[in-house]
Amino acid sequence: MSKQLDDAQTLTQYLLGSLSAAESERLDELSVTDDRVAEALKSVENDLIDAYVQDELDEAACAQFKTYYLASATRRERVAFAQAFQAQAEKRLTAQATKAQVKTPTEARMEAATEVEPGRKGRGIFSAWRGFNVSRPAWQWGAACAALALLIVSGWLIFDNARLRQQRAQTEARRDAQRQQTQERQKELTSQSAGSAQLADERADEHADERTRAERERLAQEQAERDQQRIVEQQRAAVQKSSSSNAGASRIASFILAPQMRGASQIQTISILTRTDHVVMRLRLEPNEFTTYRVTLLDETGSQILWRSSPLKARAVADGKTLSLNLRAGLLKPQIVYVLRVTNDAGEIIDDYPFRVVK
Amino acid sequence: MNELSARRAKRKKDWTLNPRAFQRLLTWLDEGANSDGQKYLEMRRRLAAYFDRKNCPTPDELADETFNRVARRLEEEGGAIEGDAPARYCYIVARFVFMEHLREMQKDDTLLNDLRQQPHADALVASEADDEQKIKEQRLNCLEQCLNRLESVSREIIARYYVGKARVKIEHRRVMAEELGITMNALSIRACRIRDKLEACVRECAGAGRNTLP
Repeated sequence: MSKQLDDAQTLTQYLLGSLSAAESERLDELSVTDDRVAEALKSVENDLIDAYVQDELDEAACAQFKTYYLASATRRERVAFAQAFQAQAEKRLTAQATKAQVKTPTEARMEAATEVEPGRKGRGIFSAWRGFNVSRPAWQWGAACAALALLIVSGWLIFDNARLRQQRAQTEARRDAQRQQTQERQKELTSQSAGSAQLADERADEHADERTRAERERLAQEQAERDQQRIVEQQRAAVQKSSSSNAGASRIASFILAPQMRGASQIQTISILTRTDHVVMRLRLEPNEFTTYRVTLLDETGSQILWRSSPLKARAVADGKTLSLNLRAGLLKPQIVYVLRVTNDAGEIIDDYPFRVVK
Repeated sequence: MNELSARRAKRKKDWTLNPRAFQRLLTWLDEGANSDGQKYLEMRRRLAAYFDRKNCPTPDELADETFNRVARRLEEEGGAIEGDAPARYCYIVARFVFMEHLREMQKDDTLLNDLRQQPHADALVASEADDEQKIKEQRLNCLEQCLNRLESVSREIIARYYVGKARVKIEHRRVMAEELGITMNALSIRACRIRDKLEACVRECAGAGRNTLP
C-alpha cells in the first residue's frame, strides 16, 4: 500500500467520489483485498460522517457529501445513526451542564479546571455518559491495580522481614560469641592483676573494652567477607550447573516483545548468539477480546511472508495476555528488520512487532 | 455449439448455493485457519460496501451473487482456485458482477434513475415530517438500549472516541490510547468495530420497531 493511499485525505476524497477513475479503481480493489486499507477506510468514513453531522466540512466537501455520499440509502442510514449518536451525546452533556450549575462554587471551579485541561477534557465529556455507568471500569481497573500493588508491597515486606530476622539472629550469635570472649579475657586480666591497684584495674578495663570493640569490628568484617565469598561461589556453581546441563541440548534465546506504540520510530533490537538454535518470542498483546491468533513473520516492507504460525492461544499473565512462539534462529539474519504480525481468526491485524536482529 | 453454450449458461444460472458448497467457500476464505465464519462476514461487508460505493441499490444482494459465483467456481475446481488469493479473486468476480449489473441498469431507465445521484434534501422532503420525527425518536431509544447492551469497556471507548470536534477529538483519542496503553491505530480499529456493532444493533432495533408500527 503506497503512502498516498494510506492518507486519510485521499480516502476521504475517494469516499466523496472526487478522485480520478484510475485512482478510484485502485482503491476499489484495495478496499476489498488489503486489510489495512479496509480498516482505514472504515475509520475515515466514520470521521467523515461525524464531520458532516457536526457541520465541520467546508462548503465544497459538504456539497459533494450531499450529492455523492448521500445518494445511497445505506449511507443515509449511517448518517442518521451518527446524528442520533451525537444527539445522545449532546443530551448527556446538557444534563451534565445543568447538574454543574446547581453545584457549589468550589465544585464548579473544579469542573471548569477539568474543561481547560485537554487530557481531562475527554473525561469531562465522557462523564456525560455516566447514565451508562461508563466510569465503572476505570474504578475497577484502579482497584485491581491497587490490589496488585498492595500484594507486591506485602510480599516484599514479608521477604524483607524474614531477611532482617535472619540478620538479627546472626548478629546476636556473633555478639554472644564476642561477649563470651570478652568475659574470658576479663577473667584472665582479673587473675593476672589480682594484686594491682584499683587505678591499674580501671586502665586495664578501658584497654580491654577498646580491644573488644576492635575485635568485634574485625569479626563483623570477616563475617561480611565470608558472606560475599559464599554468594559468589553459589553463583559460580549455578552457572556451571546450567552450562553443563545445556551441553549437547539445543540453545534457545528468549525475548519479550511489546507492540509498536503510536509514532514510535525506535525498533526493538534482539541479540542472538551465532550458536543459538531457536528463538522463543513472547509477544505482549494489547487488550482485545480474541482468543486465537496467528503470527506471521514478515520482511521489513511487510510484503514477504517468511514464516507463519499455526493458530495460537494467548496466555494470561499479570498485566494482560502474551503469545509464545518458537522460531528457528536460522530464519533471522543479522542487521535486518523483521515484523511479527499478529492477526485474529478472521485475519484482521491486531498488532505489529518490528524488531532488528543482532548476532 | 450454440446449444451447448446455452445449456452451460442455463446450468450456471440455475446453480444454487448448497450447504456443502457454502462450507467449502468458508474453508477457502479461511486459508487454512478456522475463523468461525468471521472471514466470510468481513469479506461480505467489504463487498457490500464496494457495491454501495458504486451506488448500486442492492449492495447486499450483489455481494451474495459474488459469493455464489465464487462458490460455483470452487465446486468446479474441487475446492481450490489457483493463482489469486481469496480476497483478490472475490474482488475480480465482484467487478464482473458490477459490470453486469450496470448493463442491466442501462436496459431499464427507471432503475437507472435510482442509480443517479440524489441530494439528501430530496429524500428528506419526500418523507412526512411527523414520521421523520417518530423515526428519530425511535432511533434514539434504540441507541440507548443498544449502548446499554454493550460491555462497559466498549461503551467507554465509543462514548469518548467519537465525541468532540476536530482537534479536541484527536486529543481525546491520543489521551485514550495512552490510558489504554495501545496505539492510536489499534484504538481506531477497536472503536470502528464497536461502532459497527452498535450500528447493526440500532438498525435491527429500529427495523423491528418500524415493522411493528400500525
